[in-house]
Amino acid sequence: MFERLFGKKPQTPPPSRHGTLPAPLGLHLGAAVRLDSILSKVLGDGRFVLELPEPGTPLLVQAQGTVDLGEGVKLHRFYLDDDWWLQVKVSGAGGEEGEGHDEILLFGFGDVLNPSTQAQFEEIAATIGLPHFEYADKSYARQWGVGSSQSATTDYEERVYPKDDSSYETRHQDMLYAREVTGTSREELLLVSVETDENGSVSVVHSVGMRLERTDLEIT
Amino acid sequence: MGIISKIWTAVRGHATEAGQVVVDANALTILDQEMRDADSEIRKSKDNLAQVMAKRKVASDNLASKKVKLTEYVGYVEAALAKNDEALATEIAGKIAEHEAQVATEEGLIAEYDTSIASIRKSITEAEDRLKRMKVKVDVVKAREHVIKASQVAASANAGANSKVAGALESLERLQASQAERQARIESANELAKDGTDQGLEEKLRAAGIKPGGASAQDVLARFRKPTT
Repeated sequence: MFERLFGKKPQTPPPSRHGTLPAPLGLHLGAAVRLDSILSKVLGDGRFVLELPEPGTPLLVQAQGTVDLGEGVKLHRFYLDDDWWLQVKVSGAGGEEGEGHDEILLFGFGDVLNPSTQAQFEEIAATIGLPHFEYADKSYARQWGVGSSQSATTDYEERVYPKDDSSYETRHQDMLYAREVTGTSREELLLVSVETDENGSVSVVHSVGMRLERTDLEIT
Repeated sequence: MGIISKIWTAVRGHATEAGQVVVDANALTILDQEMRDADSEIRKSKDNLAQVMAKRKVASDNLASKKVKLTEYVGYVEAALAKNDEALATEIAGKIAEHEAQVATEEGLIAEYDTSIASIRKSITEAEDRLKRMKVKVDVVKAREHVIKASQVAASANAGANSKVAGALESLERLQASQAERQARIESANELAKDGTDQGLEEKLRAAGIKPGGASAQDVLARFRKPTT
């Protein structure tokens, strides 16, 4: 699925800024990330849908994505080996290069749906934004929006920079869900994203993850 | 003290005075520049303070993160022990020890940042106060300078006016003297003219054989009448 997401050819001549991409927490293209081995050992007992990486396994950054949410808030995404990706949310100028950050999320790509008809897409879209969402036999509670009716997704554009000099843009329409997991303070997150690529192809991507502390990551 | 020495002292004295004059003449410009420099230094100090505070925030976030992790690890080690998983419990306990040491280090670091932040803040406040007082003093000096310059202009104008009045008075006096002289000349000329006219008549009478002076018109008439008798 990783190849499917990042093998897309850009349609518009992208600005090449590989040398000037922000590096929050020292993350950059080619960097190696290791997750605290205790987390994999303790949480890898089936309680989580998320299957954490093997303890000590280094995951290399293969691509970087940037999202400008406005008012100084940015998302920096780092796509790692084995369909893992990290999202670092920063606000203000200080978070672009240093250790300052608002939030770190780790996700693993899950199911990807490619609706072939409008009817199929509408059927899927009708469930995104409802107060609860079922995935992998687990029920997740909506994190964005209130009330019992369907909430609007959060929409934004992401420009992704793979390791080569290319880049491409993806439109996201996202909704975040979460569920509590017994025996740990960490919630399991589910990000449901309707992604439209530069060719107009639509896919619904499910990513399962968790919030991380800075000390959960070793970055080299 | 020898003469040479005295001369040298005098030269140095004059040089100092000359230098002092130059410095005094540019004192306000120098002060303005010094205040701008001080202002710039304060801004740099504030930038430094912001950087230290940013580092302190990162250290504080790290500390909070480690404390959260410690609490989490404690829960996990208890769970591992409950499951009799000694190996995992030992590994987690090792992480707890590692994190406790790091927490102690981070707390010490944060305390140092706090001391540094307090010191920089105090220093900035003091520098700002000094600069503020200096600005007030310079404003007063500038205001005085304006008053002095205005007074100098007024005094200079007054001196000029006095000089002009004095000059006018002198001119007036000269004019009056000149007028008096010219009047005297006119009078003198009149007198001379008058004298000249009588003299001419006398000469004409003398030439005519008429005795000049003393005779009245009747006498003269009488003389003309005599031959007819």
